[in-house]
Amino acid sequence: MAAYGAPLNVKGAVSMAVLRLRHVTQFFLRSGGGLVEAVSDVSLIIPAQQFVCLIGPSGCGKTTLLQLVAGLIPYSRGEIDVDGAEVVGPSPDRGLVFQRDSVFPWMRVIENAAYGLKCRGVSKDKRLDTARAYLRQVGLGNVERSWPRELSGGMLKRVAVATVFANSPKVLLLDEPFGSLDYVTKLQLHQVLLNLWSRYKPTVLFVTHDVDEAMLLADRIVVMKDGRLVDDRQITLPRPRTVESLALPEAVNHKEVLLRHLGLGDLVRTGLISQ
Amino acid sequence: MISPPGTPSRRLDVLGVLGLLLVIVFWWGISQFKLVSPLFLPPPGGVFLTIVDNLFASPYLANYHLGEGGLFASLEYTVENVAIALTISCIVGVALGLTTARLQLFRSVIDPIVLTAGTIPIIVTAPFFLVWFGNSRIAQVALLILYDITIVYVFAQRAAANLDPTYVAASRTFGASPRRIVLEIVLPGALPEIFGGIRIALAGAWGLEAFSELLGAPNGIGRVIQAMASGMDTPTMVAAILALAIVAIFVDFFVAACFNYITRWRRTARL
Amino acid sequence: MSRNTIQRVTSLCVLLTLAVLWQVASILVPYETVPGEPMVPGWQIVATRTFLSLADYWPGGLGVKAVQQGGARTYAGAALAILSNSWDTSLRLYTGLALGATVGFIAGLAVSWSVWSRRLVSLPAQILRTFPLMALIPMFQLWFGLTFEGSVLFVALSVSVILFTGTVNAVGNVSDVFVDYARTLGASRFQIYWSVILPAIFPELRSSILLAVGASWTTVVASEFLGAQTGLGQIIVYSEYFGYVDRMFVVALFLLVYAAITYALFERASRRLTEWMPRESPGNIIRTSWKPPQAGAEF
Repeated sequence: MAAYGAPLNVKGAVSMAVLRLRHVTQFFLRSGGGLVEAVSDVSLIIPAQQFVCLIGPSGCGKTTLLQLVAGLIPYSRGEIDVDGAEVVGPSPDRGLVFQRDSVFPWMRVIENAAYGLKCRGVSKDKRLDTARAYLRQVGLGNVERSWPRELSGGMLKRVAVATVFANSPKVLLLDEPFGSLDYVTKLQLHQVLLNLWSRYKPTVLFVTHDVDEAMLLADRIVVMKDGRLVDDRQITLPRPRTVESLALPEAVNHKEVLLRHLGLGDLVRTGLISQ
Repeated sequence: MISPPGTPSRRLDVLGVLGLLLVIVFWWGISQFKLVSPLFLPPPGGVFLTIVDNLFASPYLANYHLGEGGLFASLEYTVENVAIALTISCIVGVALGLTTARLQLFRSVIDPIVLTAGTIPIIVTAPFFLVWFGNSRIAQVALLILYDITIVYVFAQRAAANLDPTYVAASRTFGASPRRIVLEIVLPGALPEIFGGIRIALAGAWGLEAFSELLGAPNGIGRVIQAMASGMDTPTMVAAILALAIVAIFVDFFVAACFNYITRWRRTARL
Repeated sequence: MSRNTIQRVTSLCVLLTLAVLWQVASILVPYETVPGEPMVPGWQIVATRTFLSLADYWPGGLGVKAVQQGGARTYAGAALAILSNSWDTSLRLYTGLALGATVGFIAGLAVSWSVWSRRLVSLPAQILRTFPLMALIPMFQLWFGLTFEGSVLFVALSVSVILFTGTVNAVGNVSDVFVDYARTLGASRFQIYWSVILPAIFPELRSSILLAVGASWTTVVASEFLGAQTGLGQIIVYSEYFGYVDRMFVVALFLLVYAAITYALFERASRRLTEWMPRESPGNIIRTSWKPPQAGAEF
């Protein structure tokens, strides 16, 4: 499984952060007038090192919730804190892997990977070494001097993942990061992510609409609908998980329930999903 | 309270109007407290009065051989020139731009001509036109056409070339003839970008027209400005400039509104 | 043959064709502006007596007597006339360009720092863009006289307006995701401006600068048309009064060459800063930065 060399002794390598959301609500002003509750009284406690997937249909508020946890937008009501420290703005403690391409095109790959460390004032040699090590762990050791325009979408995602991990975040947030990738690349990126996670164990909140992806990655799946949490399931499938794991009876059960939540109940009933 | 991403901003921002008012107040303040001599910057009140006084009939301006019709008559000449030149340039520029986007051979001939001509600072050609066409309207209009065609051509060509090829491919699978494709697919699709170019050309055209009138023209607001300058009459000169600026702004606003209406189907960027 | 070479060769061919067409026109158009001065002077005239006649514009000095004071027209005189007037115009141009670009750029950055200042400035800035700046030349002449300062300030004004609106636009077009990404990686406000916003706006800024270069040539020559004592524009307008089209033509050619040089200088200088840019535009990464100005966009 872990194909990339020995673990690094980097400060904050193994995290113990608990993410707590208490009665979080977020309003939006609709353009025609009137308030919309994008996130409605959400309470959630994610213990340290747990990998949680948040799934839901389009427009259910999951991306908004993630942005609230990241601190990119302020929340209207409730509290969000990490280890007791309230979230008031973005911070490297809560790293975010974005859905869109966020890798800076005007910096070489190695400079991108070292960017978070540079912002924190780490010396040049140290940060380049650290960045290099993380790039190697995601399999990009030989392209560190390349420009982002020369890389494929999957490789750019690896750079983003390496960059965020290099910052040693306590909490790792991911906003449908692999949505734009093809099937095989997606599975490869899953491995990359899980490798890094198993080594440094940040607390993870991963937003997706892909039920299979959630089941391959998560310890726990939380379902959101119309701004509210409607289900919370522990996934106890043994790791390492493969595509075959999805065929296990336990997995199929979870999937059936989740698909129903997402509104695909009819398809399950008429047998279009194979058992 | 935040708006969800993707909400278009309101057309006229209240804060923007406030900013404009601040500029006018600033102007008034400078002239009121005599920070600058009134010879250099007359007070806004006086200037607006001058515009109103001389708008439709002005014996004062008639004394300078600037015609009986006051500022309005001069502005009429200027606006007419800009309108004529821009219309001709749009028709020719869009036609050329759209065709050269699709026909490589045509493009490799016309592109270098237009691009080379476009890097000539247009101001250099003004005296030539004055010599060749004399102190007549044709000189102004010719100069403007030269300037406008370059801009509209470049924008039209780029718009047609940047149009997602999927649209044309789809129309071909429906059996559309080339004529249909250009008129009903490419032209409407390229219209937003073309309109952007036309607005840019329009903005520059006012200054160019005023300037070529300054150099020598039978009529026009530029002549008024020049006459007032040589007569050291700052308030009337500023009045003329401001009148032109107001006309330019209103025309731009009106044109933008028309364009926005015509292309109201498009998805606007988040501002 | 690389694409660049093909483009250069085609441009050269076009120039040659235009030159030939000019010659043809000089034969077909036999009118004269003033007895002895053809309306479309052919290349044979330009090559022989025009250059010499430029010696008229040398006011004397450096061992060459001024034509007005009875001296003969010499090549030295003509060369000196061209050189000194070119110097005057170029000095005004580059000074105005540097001043205006700096002021416009910094003002643009300052205004886009805060959302409120951006909104406050939006309407005045939009108006400034449609303002017929060329009509202000007489005003500048009233204010500063027919001096160096007047020309420089006018050039600087035009350039700063272009750079200002261009910078504010460019900053507004920076994709949110880059700024958010930097924030989650721990960047401070200043770090975001320095390492994210500045590089991200450079492609769009480049178009603004190219526009400004073009505008600077136009405005410097225009300001000289209206009564400067020296400079290439002044020679053109003096020649125009007398109908000396051939002299106008030669000086215009010099202007074209100088303008082309300015563009080329800028291209070279900006090459290193654009190393990271994707080559072809479809499917590129900074999509919003490359979006062309649309009719509905704010400015």
